[in-house]
Amino acid sequence: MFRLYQAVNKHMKIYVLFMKNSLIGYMEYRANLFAALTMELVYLFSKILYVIAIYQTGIDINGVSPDEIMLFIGTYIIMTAIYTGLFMDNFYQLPEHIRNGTLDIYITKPLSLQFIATMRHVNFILPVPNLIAGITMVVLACQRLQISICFMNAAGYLLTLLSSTCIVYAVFLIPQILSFWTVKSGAITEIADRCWDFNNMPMTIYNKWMQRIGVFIIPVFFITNLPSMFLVDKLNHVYAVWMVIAPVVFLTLVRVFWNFAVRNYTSASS
Amino acid sequence: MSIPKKYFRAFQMGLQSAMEYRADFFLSILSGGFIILIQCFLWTAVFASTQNPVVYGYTLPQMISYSIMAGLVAKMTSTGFEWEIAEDIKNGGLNKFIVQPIGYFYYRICCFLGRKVLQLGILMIISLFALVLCKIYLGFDLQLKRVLIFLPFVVLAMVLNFLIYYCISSLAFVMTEVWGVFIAAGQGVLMLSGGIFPLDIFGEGILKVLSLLPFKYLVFFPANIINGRFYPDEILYGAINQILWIVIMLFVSNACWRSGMKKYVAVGG
Amino acid sequence: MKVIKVDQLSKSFSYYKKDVGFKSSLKNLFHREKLVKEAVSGVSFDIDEGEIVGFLGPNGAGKTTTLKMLSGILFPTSGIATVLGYVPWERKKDFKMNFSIVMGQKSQLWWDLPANESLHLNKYIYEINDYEFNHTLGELSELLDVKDLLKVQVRRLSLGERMKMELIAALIHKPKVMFLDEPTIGLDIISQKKIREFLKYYNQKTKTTILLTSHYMNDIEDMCRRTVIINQGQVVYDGELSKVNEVFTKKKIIRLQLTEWVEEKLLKEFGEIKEYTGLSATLEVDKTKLKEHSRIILERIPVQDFNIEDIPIEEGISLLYQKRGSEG
Repeated sequence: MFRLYQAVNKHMKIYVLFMKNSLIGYMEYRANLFAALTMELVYLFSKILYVIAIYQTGIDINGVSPDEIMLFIGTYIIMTAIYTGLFMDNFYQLPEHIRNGTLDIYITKPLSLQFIATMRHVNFILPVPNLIAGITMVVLACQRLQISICFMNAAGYLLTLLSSTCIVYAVFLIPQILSFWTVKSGAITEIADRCWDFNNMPMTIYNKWMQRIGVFIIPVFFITNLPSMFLVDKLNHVYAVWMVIAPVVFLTLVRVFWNFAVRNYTSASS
Repeated sequence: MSIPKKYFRAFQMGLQSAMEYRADFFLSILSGGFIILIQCFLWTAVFASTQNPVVYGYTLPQMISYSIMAGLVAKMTSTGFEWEIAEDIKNGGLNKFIVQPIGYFYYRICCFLGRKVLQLGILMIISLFALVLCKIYLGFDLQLKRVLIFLPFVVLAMVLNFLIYYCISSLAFVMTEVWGVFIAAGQGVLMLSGGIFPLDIFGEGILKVLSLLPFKYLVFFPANIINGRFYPDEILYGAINQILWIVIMLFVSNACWRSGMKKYVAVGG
Repeated sequence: MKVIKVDQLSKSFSYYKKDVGFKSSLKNLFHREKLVKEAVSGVSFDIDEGEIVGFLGPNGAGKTTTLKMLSGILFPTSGIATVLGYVPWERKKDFKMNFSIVMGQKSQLWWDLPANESLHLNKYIYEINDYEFNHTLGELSELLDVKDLLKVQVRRLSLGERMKMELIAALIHKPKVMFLDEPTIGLDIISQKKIREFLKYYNQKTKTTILLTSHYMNDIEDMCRRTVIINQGQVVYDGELSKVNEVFTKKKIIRLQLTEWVEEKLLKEFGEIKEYTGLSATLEVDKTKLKEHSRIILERIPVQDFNIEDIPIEEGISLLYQKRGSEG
């Protein structure tokens, strides 16, 4: 138990250092930074376009009011910020680490390999516009829906976001792990990334079966639907329990798959 | 080589590279298909939730056909050569065009058309297929006359889009990290041309402003010809505007490139 | 005490045959021909504490693969190895805390940051306390003469300076065993020499066991008393480098400076002529007949200067490389 505490403590300390190093590193490429920011801003606007489109109709879509949709898209944008900030850079670099062998060096470190390989970089700049816009939309929607921004709601929402973050990590890391075998994984990445867009709209627009698959089997709908459903008090018992179980299930799954891939990597390559 | 022949060669090279990148192409169709799918689900749900048969002036079959056609037309007119041009500018690949008797502009447009021919064919077939499906399942009012008018507008849209991106790619003369601008411009043009939603959602005022820009002739206009949302005189008016914009963009891109080249030669490539 | 024990270590991996062209790609889709390559087959050796051993061999001989197995990056196909009493590929934390590996072409430093940021990260990774960290860092940077460069971004450093930083990063936790894979690759002669001198000094001072690969002869000749030569996945020689020839070649070289013109055919009977100008000659002579021939030469031929030498090590080694591993 004490050893576990020590290990967690060590990884936390190192994560702080990772963050610090990333921050210094990103400052080095100002031109790139501005390029990325421009890109992110335009994309943000095209997401907001969906809100505009829905708002002006004033129609409740399958029982979801425009305000709820704004809340939903706000959550979607916050989750996008979390993904681009914490994971995206690392996940994209994984195939590169495998190809040029930097992974070999990480293997010899007295630290979790998965931790170094998937959490080494933190992007502080890219998620900023999304974070601001997302939070603004969520707060605005809460006011219009007369959801009190009390401690219980805020804490609950943050917890559901945490649960979603775990799911994002698992669901979007799995396709990248395939690059241990294929080296080139552009196509897989591309398709996985496109799946992210399915979160653009509340899952109620899809039929029952797609909803079930998207929540329980390939939990992409999970990511933005469940936190928003929590706030508008539409989270039923099954979903509520699943919010607790799913992170455990999928993180275990990704862990097992990771170990399997690394084991294969170390026994198959030369 | 005679003059037309060397440009034909560039056209062939474009065709060949399209063959080589066919995996990328199909992948991009697939990922574009995802977005269309989301739109279809969204609009179906919207129309199912309201008593009103018309939203933003569109009936359900019109909205669905617009979503599909907008996605496909955006693919048909899409470019992609801006990255190659940026490479040429950055790594001095442009030098060989300065010394060789081949115009860079003509070289690029031939390559572009060569690459497009095949994609265009495939996308047309997919479009036809989708429209027929819309007719069968949603009772979409598909008319041959409209499809025939649609075709030249797509070709003009392709030319217009080529010119717009030819202008944008000249930004590589002044910026070192131009990729962010390219992606942003791509998404921006897509939005303003009606590639995501019909421009009607912006409301009357903004629509008027957008009508003063060339973008709506890239997607919104051709896609709605199929929908039969325009009267003949509106189509004629649109055609004139589109051609006018092509002429304007020819001048603009020429000016952009001339000043860019001046800088390029001065720096020494 | 044996720090590294390797017994019959083997590593083979399979890959698929692929011909060029679209047609064969299509064929590969349905039927792939599987090929197995033995990268390392049955390598055995022991290394004592404090030894500095060189791993020599041509490209693709299996040096790096062996090193990767010893550092736990790869699983072997068969065989046993222990380093510091641990089986490397079990990747125990205690093992990782006590060794390090430097790969000449792969960096563990953060490219965009000054080296000391990466070192500071290693301080936490290897759980080093402040006092010890500062002490070791001061010592190492003094020895390698890079004190002023610690605050410079890694990507602005020269290749030689960067390698020095890699060495500091690898030694900051005072490992008991250190593996170096081509540490001098791509460096200029002066940097090579500096790094060699440092490693030699460090080994003598701290008794750290060092195993290094290189295909520069000078590296190994200069640093290692003992050399393991490996070819086609097998150990073909294990011992002092300078004695390679004693074991494998049965010839010596005689260099002659003559006072007057001597005809070539007169010299021919003593051995193979390597060089001949009329007033000087180089002969390769069988060891068994060395004494006898020397006497006759001195008696019959007008010799001004007479030298007996070993065959150059490079030649002996290239002879070894040409041999099939099993015969050596």
